[in-house]
Amino acid sequence: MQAAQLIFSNLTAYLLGFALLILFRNKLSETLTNLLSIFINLAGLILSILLILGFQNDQVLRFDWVKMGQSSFEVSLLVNRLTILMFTLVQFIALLVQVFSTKYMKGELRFSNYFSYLNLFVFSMLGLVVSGNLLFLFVFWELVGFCSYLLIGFWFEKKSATDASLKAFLMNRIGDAGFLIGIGLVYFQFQTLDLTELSALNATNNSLLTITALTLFCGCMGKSAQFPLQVWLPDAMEGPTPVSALIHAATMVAAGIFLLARIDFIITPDAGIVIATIGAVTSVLAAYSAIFQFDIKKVLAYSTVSQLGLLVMAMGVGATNVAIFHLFTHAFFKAGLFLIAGAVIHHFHHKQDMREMGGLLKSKPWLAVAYIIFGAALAGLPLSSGFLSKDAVILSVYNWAAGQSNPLLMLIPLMGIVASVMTAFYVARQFTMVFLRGDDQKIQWKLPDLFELTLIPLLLASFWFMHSANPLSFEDSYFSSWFAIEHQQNHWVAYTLLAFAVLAMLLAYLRFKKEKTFPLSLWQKIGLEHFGIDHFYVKKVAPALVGNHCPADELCLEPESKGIADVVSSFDTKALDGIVNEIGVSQKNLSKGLHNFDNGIVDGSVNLLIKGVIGLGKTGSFMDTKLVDGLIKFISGLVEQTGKQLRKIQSGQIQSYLMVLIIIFVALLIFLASL
Amino acid sequence: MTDYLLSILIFLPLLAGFIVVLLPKSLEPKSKFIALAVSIINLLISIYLFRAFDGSATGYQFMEQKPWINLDLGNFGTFSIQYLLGVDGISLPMVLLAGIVMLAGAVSSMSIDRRPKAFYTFFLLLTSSIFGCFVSLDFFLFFLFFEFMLLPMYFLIGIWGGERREYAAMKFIIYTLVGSVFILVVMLAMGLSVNAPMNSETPTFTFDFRHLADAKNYISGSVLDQSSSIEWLGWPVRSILFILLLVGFGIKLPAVPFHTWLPDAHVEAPTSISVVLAGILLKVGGYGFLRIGIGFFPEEALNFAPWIAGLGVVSIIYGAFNAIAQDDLKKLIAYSSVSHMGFVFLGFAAFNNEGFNGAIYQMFSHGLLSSMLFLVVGVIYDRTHNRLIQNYRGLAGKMPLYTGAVIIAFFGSLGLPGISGFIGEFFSLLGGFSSPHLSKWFPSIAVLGIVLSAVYLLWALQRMFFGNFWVNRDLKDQMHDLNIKESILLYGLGALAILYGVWPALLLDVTNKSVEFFLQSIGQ
Repeated sequence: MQAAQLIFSNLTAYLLGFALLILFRNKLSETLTNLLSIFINLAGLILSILLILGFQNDQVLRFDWVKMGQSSFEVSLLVNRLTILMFTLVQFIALLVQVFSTKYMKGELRFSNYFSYLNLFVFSMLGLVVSGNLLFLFVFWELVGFCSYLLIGFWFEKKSATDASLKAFLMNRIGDAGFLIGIGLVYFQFQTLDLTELSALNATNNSLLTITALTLFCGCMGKSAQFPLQVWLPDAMEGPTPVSALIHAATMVAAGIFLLARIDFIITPDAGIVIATIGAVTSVLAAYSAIFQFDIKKVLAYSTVSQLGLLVMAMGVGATNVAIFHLFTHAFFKAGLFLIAGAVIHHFHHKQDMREMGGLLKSKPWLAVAYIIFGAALAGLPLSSGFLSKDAVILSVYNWAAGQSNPLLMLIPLMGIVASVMTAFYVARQFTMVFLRGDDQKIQWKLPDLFELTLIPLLLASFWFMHSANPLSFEDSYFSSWFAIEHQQNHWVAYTLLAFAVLAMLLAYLRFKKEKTFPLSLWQKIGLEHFGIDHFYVKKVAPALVGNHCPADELCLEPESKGIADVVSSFDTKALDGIVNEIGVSQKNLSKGLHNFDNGIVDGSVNLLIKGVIGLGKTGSFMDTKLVDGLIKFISGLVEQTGKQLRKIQSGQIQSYLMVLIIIFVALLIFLASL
Repeated sequence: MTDYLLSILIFLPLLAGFIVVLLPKSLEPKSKFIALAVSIINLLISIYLFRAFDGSATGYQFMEQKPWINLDLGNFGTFSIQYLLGVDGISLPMVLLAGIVMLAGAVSSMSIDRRPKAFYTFFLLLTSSIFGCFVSLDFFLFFLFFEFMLLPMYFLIGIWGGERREYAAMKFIIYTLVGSVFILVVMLAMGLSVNAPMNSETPTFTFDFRHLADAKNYISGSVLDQSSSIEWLGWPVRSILFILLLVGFGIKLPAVPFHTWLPDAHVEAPTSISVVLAGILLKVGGYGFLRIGIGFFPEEALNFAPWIAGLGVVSIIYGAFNAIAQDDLKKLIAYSSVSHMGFVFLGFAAFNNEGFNGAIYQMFSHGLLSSMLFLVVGVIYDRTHNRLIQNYRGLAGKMPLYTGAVIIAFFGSLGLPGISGFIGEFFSLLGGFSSPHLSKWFPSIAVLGIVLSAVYLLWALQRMFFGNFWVNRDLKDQMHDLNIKESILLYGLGALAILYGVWPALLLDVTNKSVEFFLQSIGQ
């Protein structure tokens, strides 16, 4: 079968699944819904494996969509290695998430809606992945955002959930506005949006191209939650946890990286430096924020932001394949961590605060084992997949910076390294808080339940052996045979990073299990723990603008907050959040002003004009209708005292009106003829 | 029969209007069915025209030509006004849209029970003149229909409207009359400057669109002769006349700052009239500006391109900010119309295929989506007679069907791909970016409109539809979900919006060649 047919039938199946489930949402039982949805997904996964097996060369398949003058806009499928990789990855994770959801969402009102949205999401995500031009990339890009909106706000009775979905969509829209400008600039320069044609053009490195690359990157900043548009992702945790695993950890948020990989030939060196810097800053700030979270999902959310920052950093330095490699490994272990979080939340009856948890090692040992493996991958410990890919990222960025003439650029890999060390810290912290702390019982090994079973494929994918024959060398990875990864020098950097990471984990264990105060006590004394990436949005600005807005105060940050952060944040408060976080309120004020202007000045001047005209012709009557009627009178000089009479239907009215026009007509005719 | 299809579009509603007037009192309630039947027939004819139209040909099709008024002015020449009808790829989408919107209007007005005979007479008169406007190829005829639209509209708002209906109706008619006078001046100047290319000694003054579009036909030395240096207050007369057109049609569109009639008119108009007003009447402004303003004043239009784009961009942003500030759902949507129609001017200012096609698409799409949006407001208003956003919360739980339709309308309106709004906005913007005549700042700022539209629409969605169900105590609890009629209307329009969002070639195959030809004829 042709690749195009495979892909089209695959996409159609999901769309059909969406339509069926939404149309018959009240008719289908939960079991039937599950079966249908999972069947579609399984079939899709099999199709995508067929696609891998049959893959030989890159293919571009184009179908007419619209034509305008000389230009033609096509539906095009770009089937290359990156496409197929993402195509399979998305469906693989989606399948596990759907199976997981059957238990997690059991008994939920709008159960079918949930699965229909999931189908729509997978459809859109796959569409995004296979699109061969920027137009359709953008189309599916937006649809993915729409699905994310629906799913974050799935429990729409909860205000925090709809707030979060609104914020997510708006933040993404801001990024998308930039993306759209980028598309416009690409079209202006090259008269085409086709990715294959674009990559064949030899674009000269000029400032317009840099601007183009950076505006396109705005899209990535929105979707992949890069500073300063990252605020929506932690809030997006209001959605059901399996959704967080699929959309807000493994697939949709990686779309920004995917976009950069698709357009990497447009990214000029200058643009690359900006992109890498934003990535590095995001990774270190988000990792720092993750350390101080108490909500089990928010730790993971900030962790995702941080890891995406690393990916963006790698994209910025031109290490596309390395970034894709880490994207790939990250998808498995982060989805796994989120699913664990889901199982934990389910276990604790929808409690999410880690301070109220603990001792789970005893009652849920399988989850603990799984967490150790996923956590090791996230922290980048040897034998895990994360070790391979994270080292690849750090090393390629380090070696890039070493090759640059500007020594300041060394800060970029340095931030990446710091972020990775902090990652190890918060992983150990979370594990200690959720699994280790608490009462001492005996470990109870039970048969794994559905939640734990769904983790198995992800667990396998988080070991080194799925990715490389040699557990210590990413250069030997199987991945490298599809996406060439360069050999890197300076492996000592990776080992130093590892040493620090292990140290950090030890510290975290001591701090949270053994209740040793070091090292965080010093931090707390000077208030540095409040220097989190979202701190300014959540804690300082919102209250200043609209009263206390932080929905659950203790979940944002620790309550006693004073210190340096207050000073630092006040700048950010006014600069960023006034515009962004409380977008509605601040805009409403602005809009109120504009509206007043509209009512008062623009409209007022019209009214004034009317009054003036009337004043000339007639005095005494001030009633609104009379005023306006008067103008008609003034203009026509013929229609008598309209008001009530105009409401009567008389054919004479039309005639007299036409008469006026004809008289004006004739008068003008004479006037013009005399010119 | 098929030779006179365009005439039927005009005269069938007119005839039906007379029949409704003559209906005996006992049959008065039946008048709505006459209007409905006429709307259906007109829609079917529009669809037939759309299918039968040859998209690969340039020029006008389905033409009808009859001499109408011939004034012999002796040595001065002959004054020729024709009954000339025809459509090309630019006007045909508007004809189809008129068919769709008038049917939606007819169906949604079926609940009108106050003086139905009068209502439907005006409705049918309006139908007749709207179709007339889009199919006329003679400036005089066009202007006649253009003016003729105002009167029924005035009464429809003024009699069947809300509390401040008289004020709103007056404001509407005065604004539009001012615009009409401007256009009238231009028409007269045109009539005196253009000579139909005929072999006669004395000139034949004509209003024929085809002749007006050709610079060769302008009598040398006349007011509008392109090479003439006639000035007025230091400005070339042609430029002044172009500005008159810009303002005249800008009022109708409406473009900021000529838009203040619109929120008042919409808020006071009954639902079905709002649908017609937003759905099709505003498009006359865009269509007229393209056909007459740009078509007959190409050089001036090109010189003023930044101004046209500027008006568009200001409308987009300004309208959106105003929409954010509204508490009245209908007013919010009225301002969103201002914002969305701004893309039309932006597309026109681009002077390229993408921009013109995008602008036409935007008009078509806005016709579908704004009809839907006003019907959405109508649903709420019918139940509670209150449109304030803060009086409602959590409607999604209680009215899932309604919420589904609202989501399609709102997301379509904010430009979600897959729904028609995206196509229009995207190509208007793309045209703006790729146009050599415009600074990249215009489309770049216009892009902010897509962020702002998400703000006001989704914020309203969140406030009214999400959360726990709650309706202000004073409003009686009659929040039942959509009835059959409302469902068919809303989901029918929604399905069309999605169809045209997924398969834009349906429309663009018709417009493309004509736009290309049009661009050639104005030297682009």
